[in-house]
Amino acid sequence: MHSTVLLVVVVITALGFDFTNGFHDTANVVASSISTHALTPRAAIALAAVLNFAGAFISLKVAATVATGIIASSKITETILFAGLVGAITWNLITWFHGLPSSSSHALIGGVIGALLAALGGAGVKGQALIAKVVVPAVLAPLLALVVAGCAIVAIYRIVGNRRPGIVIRGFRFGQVLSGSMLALAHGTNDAQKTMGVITLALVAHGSISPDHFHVPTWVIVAAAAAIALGTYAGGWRIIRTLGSRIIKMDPAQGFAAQGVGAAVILTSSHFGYPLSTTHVISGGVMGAGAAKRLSAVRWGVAGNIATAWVLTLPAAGLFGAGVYGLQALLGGGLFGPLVTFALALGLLGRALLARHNRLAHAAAWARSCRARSWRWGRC
Amino acid sequence: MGSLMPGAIVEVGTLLKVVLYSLALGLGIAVVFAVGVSSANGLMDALRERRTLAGAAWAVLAVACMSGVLAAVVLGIFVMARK
Repeated sequence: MHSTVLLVVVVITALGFDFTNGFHDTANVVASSISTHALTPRAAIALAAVLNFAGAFISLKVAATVATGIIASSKITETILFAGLVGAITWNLITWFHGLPSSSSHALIGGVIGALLAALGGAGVKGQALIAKVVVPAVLAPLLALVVAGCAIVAIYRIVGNRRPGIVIRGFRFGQVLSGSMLALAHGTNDAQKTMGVITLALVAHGSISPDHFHVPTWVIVAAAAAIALGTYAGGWRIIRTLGSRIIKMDPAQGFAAQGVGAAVILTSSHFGYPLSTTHVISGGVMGAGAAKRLSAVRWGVAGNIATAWVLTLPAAGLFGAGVYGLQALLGGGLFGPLVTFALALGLLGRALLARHNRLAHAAAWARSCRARSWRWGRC
Repeated sequence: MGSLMPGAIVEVGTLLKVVLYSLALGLGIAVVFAVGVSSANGLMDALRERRTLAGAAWAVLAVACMSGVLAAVVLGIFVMARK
């Protein structure tokens, strides 16, 4: 009974992480399309949500291998998974609050590794795999995307430079819709599968699925797809603003270069079994498309903040994961620790949402009273 | 966590393949699409100036480029489904 309640808590938390993954990474897919007016914000987000949902059904192969290459899955318990997920969600919310695009996958890996280190020490973590599958790709992805997008935008400007702007702008806006759609589909395929993998690992740890017959149940696929699509539809506007207009002021050709090159790099690296973070690739692509036009076109301060968040993601999510695991251990083993942590997290989230709602209501009331005063006395 | 030897951990050959293929594909798609857009522009100009032959040539080039881009999209979906 206790174990089933714990499993339910882990599944809900995993879907919560999937939701934050969706709204955190919406920006990768829609930011440049929105900033260049290729699509209206609502249309861009709705398209991205639908394609993320569809993408989750395309392939299930990553779900079977997620995290197993980096951590010893036999050592994973539901309590460790729960702590790792809470750590990842916490880091996702912090970076979202500061409008920083960071990798949700790295946050998840960091959170689970942190919880695992707190529980078992270094025994459950495969250090070499961590370097090969996480650290090296994290360095490679933005640099590769920066260089390729930079070369691409130089070539594009040479080809269309003396053409009339009207058709060129419309053409590249269409290209952005196409490349953005590919990115959304790829994101749904990659990221929803991570949550499917985590839930399936929890089912294995619970004993509902035999480790010898590892498969992802249909309800897990549907739930993970729905959570990431809903998260995408909720839209992480702070990160959309950063990626769409705070790094560079983008034109449609630059937007297409960043997104098109991003899609090409992500799919090529996936083909060679070397998955790169969508966030790192797109952010690098945006910087490359700006820097190739003019180095000073890139706000390097913003780019530096983003790079700092990337460096901090793994250790910070790990610290949060370890902290949550420690809190659970402090509260006693079994069900009590995770339940209290879950209630605490829900309480904090509810309070933050209520505060935000009150702030918005206060601002709306102030705007109404301001309009009324300016109507009566001609000033506010 | 064991001793870490960077050369042994990272498959340099695969890494180089990722870099080269990404560069070729990323640049290739951008160039093909840009040529397609430029051709569409040329087609509009030719139609406005009633240059039928030039218009047909631009149209063929534009269709070829867009077919190339669509082929890349299909290839991308194929890669997603296979991995």
